[in-house]
Order: sequence, then structure tokens, then C-alpha cells
Amino acid sequence: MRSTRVAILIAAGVVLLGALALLGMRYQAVIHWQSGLGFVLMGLLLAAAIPGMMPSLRALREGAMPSGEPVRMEQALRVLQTLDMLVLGLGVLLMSVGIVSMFSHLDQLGLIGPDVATALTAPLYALILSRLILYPLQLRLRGVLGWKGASVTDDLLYNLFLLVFPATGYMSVLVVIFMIVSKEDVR
Amino acid sequence: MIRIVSWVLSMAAFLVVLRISDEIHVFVDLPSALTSWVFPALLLLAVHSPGRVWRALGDLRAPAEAGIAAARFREDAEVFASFGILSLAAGMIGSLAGLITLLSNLANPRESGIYLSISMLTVLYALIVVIFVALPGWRLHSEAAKLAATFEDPVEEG
Repeated sequence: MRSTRVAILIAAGVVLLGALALLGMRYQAVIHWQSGLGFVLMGLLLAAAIPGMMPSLRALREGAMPSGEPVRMEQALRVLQTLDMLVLGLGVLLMSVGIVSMFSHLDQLGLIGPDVATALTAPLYALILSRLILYPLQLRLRGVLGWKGASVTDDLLYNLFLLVFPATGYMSVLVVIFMIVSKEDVR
Repeated sequence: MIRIVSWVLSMAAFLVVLRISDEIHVFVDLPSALTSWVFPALLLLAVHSPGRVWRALGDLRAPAEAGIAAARFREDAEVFASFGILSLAAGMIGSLAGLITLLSNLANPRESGIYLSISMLTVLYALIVVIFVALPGWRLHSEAAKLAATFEDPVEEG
């Protein structure tokens, strides 16, 4: 059973990476060391400060391999939910930094592209860590616990409004900026 | 029965809207479908196990008074909710990756339109999953769970 899950997980990873490559994504464009370093450093420090480093590591291990002890699993679930909120918040925070930096460069249009790329990589890392790693771990623990202890991030409607509304607004801003840059280019 | 007919009609209405707004082939993109449909479905199978996912699909046909436990319906609802959540996340990841590529490639403005439309398509595909699959499945199972709970313990619920 465990090997089937691992095989499906590997297949899922291959499908995602293959599809993104087919979409024309350049992996070197997604790896942005400034936002990556900021994200990892701030994430580690906040994880050490809020749930604590050892409880966080224990929770990750518990999520990957549930022990079957309800008290430990409930504790781990709460820690994972805190980490999840923290990661999502950090993504939005770093995105805001990128947007502010972008607006400060509006007089130098050539500098907008890298600033917006910085603003986009942080939420990308946050989404990957939160929804593709921490959320499945929470699901496993909740499944073993009989689907108790749902947090707000487990709600489908919350996810819809958290992701879609900010994203569409944000993308509209990007399109407008892109149009301005293109017009300047034509001139 | 009325629900199934309404669901099919809503899908048909959506296709009509697509047809009116533009040529339909603009909305067909295999990589976006892989990102927003196939990847979350595989992740769902890995997280919940294939047996549980098939059971959640099969229970869609079961009425609440069929004797199925409320806990099982709640579990089925979680399967659909997590499919929607994973699909939305995958759609957003595809979209962000497309936008980053677009912005790192601003030197070629002619290619940018294609990247922009593709980055929007992954979100569109994810929304199709949420609106036509995850939300109806989650809602049906949640309702069935509530009803099954009243059959299990009518005094407490009533």
C-alpha cells in the first residue's frame, strides 16, 4: 500500500513538472535566490519562534508516518496548521515587498520585470510548501483522527476566495503594467 | 434526477458561453489540463488511497437513507473538498510559473500574449474542477452526512 502511494506521488510529480515544461516554463526563471533565501530564512526563524523547531520537525514526521497515538497526532495537526498559515502569510508578505519595490521603479520601466518576478516567486514557493506538502500531511493526520480538527485552510470555499480573488486582481494589475511596458517599447 | 439534469445543463450552458465568447479551441490546452486536473487527481489518490476515492465517487449514487454511516459520508465530502483545494493550488502554481516565465522573457513581447493566456488557462481549468466536480460532490456528501446522522441518532439531532 505504501509503495503504491509513493509510486502515485512520483507519477504526480512527473506529471506536474512535465506539464509545466510543456507550458513553456523556464525552471531557471522560477529559481530566484533572493526571495528563496528570504522565504527559507524567515520561515525557519518564525517556525522556531511560534510552534518551536522540535515540535515542527516532530509534526512533519508524524504527518508523514502517523504513530497512531491520538494525543500526539492532534498536537502534530495543530502544529502543521500553524505552519501552514505561517507559510501562506509569509508568501503574501514577501509578495507585498515585491509589489512595493515594483511601484518604486515605475519611472524606470526596464526594472519592473525583475521586481514583479520577485513578487511572484514568493507566493509560488508558499503555495508549493503549503498546499502540496503541508496540506497533504494534514489530510493524512485528519484521516487517521476521523476527520476531526479542520482548520479554516481546509475549507474549499475559503481556498476559492483566498486564491482566486487576489490572484485575478493581481494578474489584472500585471496585464496593465505589461501593456504600459509594451507601449513604451513600441515608442 | 433533477440534480443530474441541472448539472448536465449547467455544463452545456458553460460550453455555449465558451462558444459565444470566442473560438472554443482557444480554451483547449493539454498541459493546463495535466496541471490542473491530472496532477491533483494523482495527488488525491496518493493522499487518500485509490479505494477511498472510488468509494467517494460510488457513494454519490447512494441515498442518505441507504444505511451508510454519517462518518463515511463526511469522509467522502473531505475527498471532494481536498480535490478542489489541490486543483486550485495546482492551477495557481501553473499560473504563477507561466507569469514568471512571461516576465523573465519581456524582451519578446510577441510571445507574451501566449504565455499570458496559458497562465490564465490553468486557473480556468482549476475553477472548472471546483465548480463542476468538487463543490457539487462536497455539498451532496455533506448533506447526506447530516441526513444520515439524523437516522443514526434522531433524538440528539432532532
